[in-house]
Amino acid sequence: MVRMYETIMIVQPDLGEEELKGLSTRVQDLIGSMNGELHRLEDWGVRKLAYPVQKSQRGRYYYLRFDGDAALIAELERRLRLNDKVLRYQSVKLEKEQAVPVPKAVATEAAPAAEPESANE
Amino acid sequence: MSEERTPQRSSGPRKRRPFQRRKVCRFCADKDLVIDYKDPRVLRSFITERGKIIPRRISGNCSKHQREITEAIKRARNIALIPIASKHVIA
Repeated sequence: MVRMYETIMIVQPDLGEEELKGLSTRVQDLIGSMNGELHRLEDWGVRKLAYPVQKSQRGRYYYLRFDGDAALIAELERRLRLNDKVLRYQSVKLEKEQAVPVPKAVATEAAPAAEPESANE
Repeated sequence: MSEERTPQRSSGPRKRRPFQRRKVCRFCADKDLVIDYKDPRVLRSFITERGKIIPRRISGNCSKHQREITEAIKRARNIALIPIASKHVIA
């Protein structure tokens, strides 16, 4: 039975580009291979955590919104649990589609530690 | 926590509290306001400075929305969007 889920995961803040890319492609591949449908995959950037998680004061938030069945979410969580780069994750089953898009710009408290997006010379 | 002291009156067996305006639930009054664990700004007004959840008799929420607030706060705590306690000191 296909259900709507959203997952937030906090990964280590000091990962390189390739590692972040590898992480997101792995998630996409997993969801694709298990007949899920990925709706959005957002990078909220590095933020200050409200309390230290695994001795880390900051973390990079990823937001996933996807449809899938129970096997998919079990496998996704299993992999996140095994991944050392992931400090914490939380999946929530959605009752209904959110009318308003995710309030992503929730007051980026910490100054984003050097977004490497505009790194073209 | 600091309770509000009602003026002690010796008359009558029951101490009557001063009349207070009935608080209204913010979420019932404003339908556009959504409860979402991903939005700490809304949740912040329902926790104390120490991070505790403000009870319904203080916040004035209706029971339905208080339940939703409680769940949202717990989720937000879990994913480190709002603190669990007042000070988390790191070594």
